[in-house]
Amino acid sequence: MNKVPFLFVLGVVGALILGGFTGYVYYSQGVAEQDLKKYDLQVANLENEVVQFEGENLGAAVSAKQALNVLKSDSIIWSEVIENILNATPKHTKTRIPLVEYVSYSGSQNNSVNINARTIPGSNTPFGDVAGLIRSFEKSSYFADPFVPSISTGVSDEGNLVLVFSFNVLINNE
Amino acid sequence: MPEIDDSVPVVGKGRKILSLLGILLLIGAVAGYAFFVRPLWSEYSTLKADVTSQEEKAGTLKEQIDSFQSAEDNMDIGTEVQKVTLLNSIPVGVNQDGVIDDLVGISKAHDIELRSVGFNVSEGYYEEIGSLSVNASFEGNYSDLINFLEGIEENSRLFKVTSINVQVSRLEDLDIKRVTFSLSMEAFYQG
Repeated sequence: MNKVPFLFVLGVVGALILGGFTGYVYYSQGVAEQDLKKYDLQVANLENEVVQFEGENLGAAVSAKQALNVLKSDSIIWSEVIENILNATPKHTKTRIPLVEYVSYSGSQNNSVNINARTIPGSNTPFGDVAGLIRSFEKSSYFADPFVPSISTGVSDEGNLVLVFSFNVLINNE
Repeated sequence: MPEIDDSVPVVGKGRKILSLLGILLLIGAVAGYAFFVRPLWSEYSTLKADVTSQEEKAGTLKEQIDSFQSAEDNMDIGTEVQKVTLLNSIPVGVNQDGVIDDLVGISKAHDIELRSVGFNVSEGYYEEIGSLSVNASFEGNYSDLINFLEGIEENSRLFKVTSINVQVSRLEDLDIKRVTFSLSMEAFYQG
């Protein structure tokens, strides 16, 4: 029986392995090229989408939204404060004229309001009017801790008694 | 008899040729691997690395788009109007001219006179947000004060009033109350 030489078998096996491996590499390369084309297209589309989002200033809008939530959280609506001060001011039962007159007021971010006021010249009960003011602010749910540190007397141009006083009150945040 | 003697060298010659062919095939295979398949494999490896890199890039971009979309959904800023409104509230850049225009516009709309105004810019009020401090004084009728303040509060650019000082005076002849008031405000911008 004739035997095929070992070297020939080795050569044929080597050639077959090389051929098989070459085929595998060619096939894999083809698949990878297709994948690369697919991802290139996908990346280009996604980049366009990102540019579109950025072009719409979405990042800046998100920052603005986050900041607004924080900045507005401790804002005081001063138009409301003044409206509530005027509403809380006691008025004459018949004429509806306020029993005290505000000369100046100031408010700051710490929720406190300082008011300088005076009673109406000619009032029969000026001290009672000041007490009424304190009572009225105590009743208001919008304000807290009304306090009049001092009251001084004066005379109006017409010669009537006028009380001049300062008045501190806190804006109720609860 | 001579026929039998001749067959032995023929078989040996064929084996020698096959062995030689085997050696040539082996040499060819090694040379083919070294000079053809190996560079081909190297090309494939580079291509595969490119694919991986693009795949990762696509993943990152998708995450970015998802975060944009979720921001739109969660923060209620899906429409163009909502985005523009937010950017008007806190614009990109100080835009001091816009603040002056706003103050003048609100004053005029409520018959209030803008008497003086001062500015100061500071960065880092809140994260990337800077602030333009505005100190302004005004004069007008007492009855217009609340409407004016509402105008400030409802302005498209956010004005946060940090302090207010009001002086009330009465014009006895006309029975009109006048107010002189000053406001300290913060307008905000994105750096």
